[in-house]
Amino acid sequence: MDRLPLVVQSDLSLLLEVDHPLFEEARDALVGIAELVKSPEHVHTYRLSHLSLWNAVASGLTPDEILARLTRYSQYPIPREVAEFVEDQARRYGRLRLVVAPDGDGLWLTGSDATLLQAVGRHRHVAGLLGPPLAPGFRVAPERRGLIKQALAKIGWPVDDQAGYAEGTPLSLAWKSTDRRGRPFALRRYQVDAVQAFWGDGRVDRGSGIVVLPCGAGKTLVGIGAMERVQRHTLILTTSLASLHQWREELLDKTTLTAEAIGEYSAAKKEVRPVTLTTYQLLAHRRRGQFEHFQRLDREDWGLIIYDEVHLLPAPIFRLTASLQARRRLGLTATLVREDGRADDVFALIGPKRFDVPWRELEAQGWIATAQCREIRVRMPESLRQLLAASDPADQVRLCAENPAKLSVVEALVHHHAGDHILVIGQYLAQLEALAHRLNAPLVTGKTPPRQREELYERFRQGEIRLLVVSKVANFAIDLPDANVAIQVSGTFGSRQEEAQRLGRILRPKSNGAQAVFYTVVSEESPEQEFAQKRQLFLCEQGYRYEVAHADEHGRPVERVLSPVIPFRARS
Amino acid sequence: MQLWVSPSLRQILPHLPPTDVRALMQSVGLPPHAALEELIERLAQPERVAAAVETLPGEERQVFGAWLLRSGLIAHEDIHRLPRFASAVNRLAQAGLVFLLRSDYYRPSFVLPAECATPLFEALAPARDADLAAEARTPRPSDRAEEWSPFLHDVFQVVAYADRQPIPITQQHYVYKRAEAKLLSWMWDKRGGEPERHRFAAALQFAQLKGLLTLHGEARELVPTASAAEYWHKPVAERAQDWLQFAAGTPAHQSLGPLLIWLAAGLEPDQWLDRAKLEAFLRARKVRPEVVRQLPEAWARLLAAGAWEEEAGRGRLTDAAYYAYHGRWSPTRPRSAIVQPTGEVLVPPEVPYAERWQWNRLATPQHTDRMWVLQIDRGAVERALDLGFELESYLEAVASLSRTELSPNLVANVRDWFRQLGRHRWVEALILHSQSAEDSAHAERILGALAVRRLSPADLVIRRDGLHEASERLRRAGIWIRDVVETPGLPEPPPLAAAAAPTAPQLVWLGYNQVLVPKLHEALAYHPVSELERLLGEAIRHESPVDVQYFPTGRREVLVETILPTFLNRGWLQGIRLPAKTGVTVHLTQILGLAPAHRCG
Repeated sequence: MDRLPLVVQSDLSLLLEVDHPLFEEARDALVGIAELVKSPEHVHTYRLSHLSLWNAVASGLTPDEILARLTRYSQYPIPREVAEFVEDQARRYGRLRLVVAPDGDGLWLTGSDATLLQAVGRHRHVAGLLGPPLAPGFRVAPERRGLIKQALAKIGWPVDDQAGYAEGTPLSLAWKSTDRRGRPFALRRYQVDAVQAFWGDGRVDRGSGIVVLPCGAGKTLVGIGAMERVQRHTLILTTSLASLHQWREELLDKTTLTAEAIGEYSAAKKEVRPVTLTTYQLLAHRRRGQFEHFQRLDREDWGLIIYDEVHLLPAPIFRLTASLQARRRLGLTATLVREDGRADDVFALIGPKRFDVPWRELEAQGWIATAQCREIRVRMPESLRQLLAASDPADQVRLCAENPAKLSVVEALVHHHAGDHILVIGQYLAQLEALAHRLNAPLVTGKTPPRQREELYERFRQGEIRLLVVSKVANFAIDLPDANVAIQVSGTFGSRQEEAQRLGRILRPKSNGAQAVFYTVVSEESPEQEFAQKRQLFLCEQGYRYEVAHADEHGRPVERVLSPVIPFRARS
Repeated sequence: MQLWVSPSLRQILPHLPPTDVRALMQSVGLPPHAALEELIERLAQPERVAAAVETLPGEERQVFGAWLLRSGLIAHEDIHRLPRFASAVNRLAQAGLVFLLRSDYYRPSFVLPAECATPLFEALAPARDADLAAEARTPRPSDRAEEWSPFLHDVFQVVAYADRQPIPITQQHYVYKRAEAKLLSWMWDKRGGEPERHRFAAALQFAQLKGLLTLHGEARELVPTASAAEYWHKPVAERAQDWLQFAAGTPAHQSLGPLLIWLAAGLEPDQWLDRAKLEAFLRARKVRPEVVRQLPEAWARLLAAGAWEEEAGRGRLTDAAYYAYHGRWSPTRPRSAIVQPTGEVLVPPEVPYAERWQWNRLATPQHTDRMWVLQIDRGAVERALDLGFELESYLEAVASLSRTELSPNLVANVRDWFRQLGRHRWVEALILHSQSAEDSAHAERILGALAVRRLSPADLVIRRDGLHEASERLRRAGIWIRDVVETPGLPEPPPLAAAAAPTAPQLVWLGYNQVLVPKLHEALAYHPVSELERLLGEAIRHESPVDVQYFPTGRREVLVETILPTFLNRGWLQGIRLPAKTGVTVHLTQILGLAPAHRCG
């Protein structure tokens, strides 16, 4: 073997070849110095960033050690720009510190380099966030902790945040060795690693950050693992009531917490307890200009705040979250993609990405189900094409999505997968109602009362029903472990995040070993197909391939025969 | 490795007088009417060259070697300062290693043919010794040259860029700033400082010099020539030679560029050439000061061409140049590009340039670096259509270059893009021509008032100023259409210019074939022109005849005549030929040698 698996590019990206004997060894070497960007089938992409290098330095690695890791596996010499970047970033780390002010009044941005302090203090992106001078450095109001770190990161000067955390009220919490059904339980290796990456033995530079794991990989348990390390009162923010209840169930199932220690803070209940579960929606709720629920919960002495599905952090929460900087913060997600482009803000306000693992790797280890992705392109009936032609652009996406030819396709798929546990997922209620009616299946939407929703989910889990038609309420955080077929009939434009979340519904390893199949049904030659290509991209970047099939306007499968096209005059 | 750009034996031999050719044939043991190719092959044999040099007495060898160092290949009248120049020239001329040619209307020059330059240098020049090596040694990271080198990478990217979009050029022949900024981002070294700009300029110059790019039309854009694609199929050694010749410099700077390369190539891999020692050496060999002053320029040129690296007063060939010179190549890895299911194409640097050229036409470049990153997307398909690809030929081409199987979703997407892009097109007069009446009717419904009238079941006339709006409406409805407007009936655009023959030193003559095997009269002395003026002035004052060897205009021979000089004015000598007592006029630059009369016997 004379070739090495890694290519270090001058733009700081690292390309790691999967089909190489040294792949795993090289991958392990890159963990801790680079961030995983994408992991399609043949070559995974990592990236060196100032954040990844600062984390590396904070964990004790020297620039030489970092470069040695790269050199060891790199097929070509390390570009000079990369070596310079590594050394430069390492040099920058630690020169600015954020500590508690000597007089205890707020925080203090300080360092040993007076010139540097002066320069950052004058910077237009930073100056407005600083308090009065406190030599050497400046005072910083606690609620600006996250913002100042964000601003300094943007101008290339990382801050070593040593201000620590408000400890929070102690909470005794331990894992059980068996769950409530008496089955032995222990965290998986990667979950242990994720917790460790977050906690870092309790160092002041750890205890905040984001853990990225595929759907179905057990992020909830990672959150609980963090709680177990922190041993403090915890506030858990979720996306929905269903998700909130799932958290509660896991806490009761896997830990020594009692029901009395877990509070539900929702529209129906306002329980504030050592572990309190609430939703983003409630936290962001404003009455008469006041975030009353946030203010209520903010009065508590939390030691840890967990943001479930952190990629969905609503924009108003950003500002609120800034004031929670004194607490340990853990974000959990399967996808860090935000269609509003505010991923950097999530990093700044929650913390850096601490842990990530390629989906296909967990699949190979059997922790998530093996999944096949298939796209079916359905021709539109002539009547729909005419309607589309005459419609406003705003209506065209919906019209394509509600292509009636899809009904037959879905019916055929359901028939093909008789015996499997199927979720049919869509965006538009009329379409979902039509499907539910045609398939004689229960429908779960936002309008479905929570109790009924839970009941249906439970019946699905028990196997009493094997087919559910669901709206986007099912995008997140519903636990239907044996669902192994998902048929997506419509979605939100090109949302890659939604695509990933929906695939995640069927990625729990199946008790019967069944494979997972994810179908996307799109109208051919329509804006929907364009969006579908974009949505595919995230899953392709996670290493999945799509198979594509075609159906006619009656929903019957067809071999794609290309119409003859007008030959173009070649311009050579 | 041929570094010197000089008239070659192929150029010289056809213009020699037949008698000179026969004499050369005889000297190498060939029959008089053997093929010129055979003669060239024999004359250029390094062993024969070395043997010819060996016949020179030690002093003459030294003299000739010093002349090489001083003046390089194409010498002018100042070589006459050297003692015993004539006998050395004659010996080497008899061996076919030196020729006399007329380099302008009057002036003769001595040239060493390009094929013989390197072995002559190696045999004659005593410069390859350790005294020029710096103390410090730095191991090289590799022991092979790659087919790519940063310089050739840059050349390739410049030409590949031009293949996708022409490079706009100002009247002063600079690249416009915006295009330059884009091109700099495609270069190997992306730091964008002055050294990088020089390297970019060098790459651009090389591409034009080798006929890969040409200025096209009134638009003043650089576009690839018809031979640009073929260049990347050349053997790697030939491309490397082109590169090093370019790095060595133009004929005007021949003496130092090739010398630097040749000296550096003779070092051990970990050695450096000490610049101060080199300058001292040149001065000690009495190389003309103006030549020594060219050293920084020659040095900088090598740097700009990516053939040289320097540090702390020393320099050496880059790894790529060093091993290319010695012909030690890493193997290429054909078909080693990876096509990801996302459509991302990753092309490692060892992929042969011929394949990289194809990739440039099949996918959209995203980022150049060690791994060249491209993307198969709708834009790539659009370009493929322009280049005449059909779906199957495109997929076949991509698959033939990739070591990974194309994923089904990518193939499906490509099929869809071909289908979409191939279904409708614009025709001039804003006629929307569709593949079928059904399609046309559907399009008409979408365009509404923009459709002026129907030309045929498949042709719709669109409002003249509605091109952009019509395109947007169709796209919003899911029908993709390219913005290219066809113009049937107008003249075809002119074909790309065939590559201009690379600039090479020409044998300059004025309608006469004037190359000779010189036979210098060894009894005559050889003086610079300024010295000739003084000597002839004295001869005029003393009314003394002189024997003159000169190369008259219009003659294919060198004459030796006894002349009584009578008048000297503005470089012209007038005199009387003896004993014929006929008048003669000679330009001083035509004079090869001169001595008091009857020296020639």
